[in-house]
Amino acid sequence: MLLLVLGTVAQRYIGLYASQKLFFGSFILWAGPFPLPGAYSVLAFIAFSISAKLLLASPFSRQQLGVILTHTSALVLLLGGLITALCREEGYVVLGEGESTHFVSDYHDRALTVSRNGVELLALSPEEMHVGDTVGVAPLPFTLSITRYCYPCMLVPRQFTKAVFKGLAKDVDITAKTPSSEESQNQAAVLLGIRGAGAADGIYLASEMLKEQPDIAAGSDHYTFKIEPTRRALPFSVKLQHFDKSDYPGTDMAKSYTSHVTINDNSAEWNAIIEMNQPLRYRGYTLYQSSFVENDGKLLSVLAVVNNAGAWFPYIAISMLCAGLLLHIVVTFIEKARR
Amino acid sequence: MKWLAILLLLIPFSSVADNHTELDYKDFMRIPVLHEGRIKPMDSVARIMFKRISGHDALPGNSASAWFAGVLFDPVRAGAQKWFLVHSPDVLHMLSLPESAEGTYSYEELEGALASHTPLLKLVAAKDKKDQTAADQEVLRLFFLMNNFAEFMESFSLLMPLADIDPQVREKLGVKDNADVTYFDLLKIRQTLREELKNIVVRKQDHIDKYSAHEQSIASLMYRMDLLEAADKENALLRVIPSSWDESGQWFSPWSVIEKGDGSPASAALFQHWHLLAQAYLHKDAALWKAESEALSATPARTWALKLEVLYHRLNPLGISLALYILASVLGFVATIRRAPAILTASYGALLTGAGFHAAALCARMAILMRPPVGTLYESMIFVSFIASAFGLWLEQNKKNGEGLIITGLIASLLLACASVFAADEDTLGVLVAVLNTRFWLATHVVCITTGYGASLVAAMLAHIYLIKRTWQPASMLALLEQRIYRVAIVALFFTTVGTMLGGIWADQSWGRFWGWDPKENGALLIVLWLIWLLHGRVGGQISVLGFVIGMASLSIVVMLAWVGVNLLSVGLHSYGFTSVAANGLLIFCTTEAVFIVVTSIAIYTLRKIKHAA
Repeated sequence: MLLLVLGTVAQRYIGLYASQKLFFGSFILWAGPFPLPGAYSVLAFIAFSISAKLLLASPFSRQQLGVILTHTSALVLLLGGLITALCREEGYVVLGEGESTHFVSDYHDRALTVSRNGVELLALSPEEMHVGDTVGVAPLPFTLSITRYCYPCMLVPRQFTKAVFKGLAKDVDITAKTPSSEESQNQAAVLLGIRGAGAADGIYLASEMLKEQPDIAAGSDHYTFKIEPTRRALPFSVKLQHFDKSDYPGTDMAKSYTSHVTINDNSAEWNAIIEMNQPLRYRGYTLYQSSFVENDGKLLSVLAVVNNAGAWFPYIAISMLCAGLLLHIVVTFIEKARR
Repeated sequence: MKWLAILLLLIPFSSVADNHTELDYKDFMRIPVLHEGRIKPMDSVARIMFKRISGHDALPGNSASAWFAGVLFDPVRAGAQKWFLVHSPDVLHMLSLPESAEGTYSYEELEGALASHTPLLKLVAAKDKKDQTAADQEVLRLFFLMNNFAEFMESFSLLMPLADIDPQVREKLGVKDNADVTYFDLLKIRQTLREELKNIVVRKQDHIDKYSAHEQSIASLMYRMDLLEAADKENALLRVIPSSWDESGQWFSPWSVIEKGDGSPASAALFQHWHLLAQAYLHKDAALWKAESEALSATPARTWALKLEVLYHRLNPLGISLALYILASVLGFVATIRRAPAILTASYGALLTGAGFHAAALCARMAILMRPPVGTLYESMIFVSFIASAFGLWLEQNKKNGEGLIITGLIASLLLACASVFAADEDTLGVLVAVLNTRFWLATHVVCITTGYGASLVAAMLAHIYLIKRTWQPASMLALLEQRIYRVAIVALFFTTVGTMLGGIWADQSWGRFWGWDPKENGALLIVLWLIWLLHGRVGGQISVLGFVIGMASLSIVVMLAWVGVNLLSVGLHSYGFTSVAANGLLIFCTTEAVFIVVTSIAIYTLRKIKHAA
């Protein structure tokens, strides 16, 4: 309970995502030098206690059936939470009308991608970007090294520029900043060095804060470098046919959003509708109408995509819980009536 | 800039004859308007505007509608009357307004002050929401409110009589010398007038001093028409004419009918009625007013719901319930002290009648909004209040000693009073944001969890009574009371647990996750854990009876923090906005509760020690 209060109040100060990670997604919580059990440890302990009670201290009798069922439902819920924590994947897709994709972008993880003539060659996660390392990956005709990477990052004017800095890096430097509680304000940037590409050699700046991305010519090819949300492939593709945002008449207040999509799986195609509170489930993935963005007067639909094997546990748990509590009430009632 | 033009325009309108013929607003109140996303009676729009502007609920009777009719049809006078309440000295200072004893200002005064502080307004509006002071927000609120008010004032500017109409123009229109001529009338001959003006300009350029009186009046008339059109053609706040072709339920304002117009016979007929209604108001023609407002109140809409809404506002059943609940708890208290069964029965009657009005109010709201009863924080408060009073009736049925009456009368009336603070200047019958707009989940999860809150509060208040009585009575005499607390706690646990899990499932359905450690979710979980902890401790014997009761008494703090307090944090998907008044109220509540619990607990333990020693 203490954890719950601390974690909730902290959301005001460090943001929802950071607080979730710190308080509810850890085994140990450090309060200065003192270790406190994190949510994982507490939940594990509760699960252990309930199991121990069920196995060792609950004689199986008719009177106790409801109680046992209720406690088992709590166990099922926790198990579902464990499975969710271990193997849940979530992300989003942003689609304009007529656009199609089979990639899902991650909400939080980023990668540095290198593409040749518009085709992605490789993606480096922040863990793979060590300062000073050179990336001598086979498909690249030059060496790529990370001069500086920071997250969250801010752009600052460069004080003394040198010939080695190319493009925006000539005038702009990057430096780490204190994390903002607004998740969208925390953005990454990287300074990367290119050697062996002839005239294009130098240090470039790539950042998700900038529209302009480094684009260099090596030989007859063009290479672009971008920091983008990590992408994962879907086993099928989604095409947005039509997006509807209906307002309450006479206001800008949304009444509902609806995406009319076409799912394509191995050349089998069919239409589906995704609405607020009406997700689409297919092959273990669930697609939700999450929000929309307005871009140059056009509405783009934002769909959240979740793949979670533990999603069904709460449904089982709540059925068991209701059954257990009702059973207990009925049994107690009968017992009383008998006496 | 727009306002300046408008004020200029307002002056040349003919002024209204000031006679005091009483108009009958009964039908006017029921005329349907599309306002803030919902078709509502004119009366509701009037009340909302009146409340926002003056800070007061409307005076008894139909005065909000009468006031609003004045705003619509006699804007010159409405603009000069002091309706706007500005109580913050900081705001007055910011706008260099003189302090006044009543704290009220007219539209004209405020408009002048705001217009001369445009750079300041821009600065304030550009600030990040977090950096805005209370005064900044109040100034912005005032600015938007003034805009709204101005738009209402000009809704019918096209139907207002214009002054200084040239006799030749009257002739062209075929109207008598004393008849009103409006922008709308002039539209018919606008083209001819324009040609005429063109000829004048060709002959005499723009040397206005050389124009004849007739020519000057044509030029002035055309100028005024152009200005009116430029200022008001976008005027779309008062939507009173249903579209005959748009199926999404779009309605039009008088100006947009003329500008974009759907030109159907139905809307033309309605427009004509409005025209006559405006005339009736200006000339205080009671018979015409009655006939036209009656005709307009038959504008196609859910008429029975509009009638119900007018009745709901007029009767104010929640106000009646509030009074009855207060009465019930006072009578209950008197009855317990004086041991008078007759007073107890009266108290029971008051609670029962209060709950009856309360139930009627909830049903009326459901019928008007066509959705389950709880969708906003305000609605959750009035619903929990109802649940508490229902619990009180049930408790009193089981054991007739007045306890149930006192505490539930107290909880229910406190919550209703809080709700009215929360409603502030909002329409309490508002529409919901997209994600909440689902009948199924509102009916299951929200009702379940709020019932849980209600039960928790009742259990907590029973625990309060236990603590008070325990200071002079031995535990053995209170065993029954403790058992009741235990039972209500079980009911509370059932509803909060099922409600919380249903909430998780709703979240899974609409956001793709069952649980996200969102403040509202954490709050609900906190209540569940608190109850689980106490009940397990009680059953297992780790917590003493007194410990259990103290824990249950503290549940009130936990519930209020989880329910209202988390909105203070204003993060996460569930928060619905918060005011500082409410924050202070919450702080006072929690402190009082904490002090009460600590003091009574200490008293009980000390007295017990003294007894043991003796």
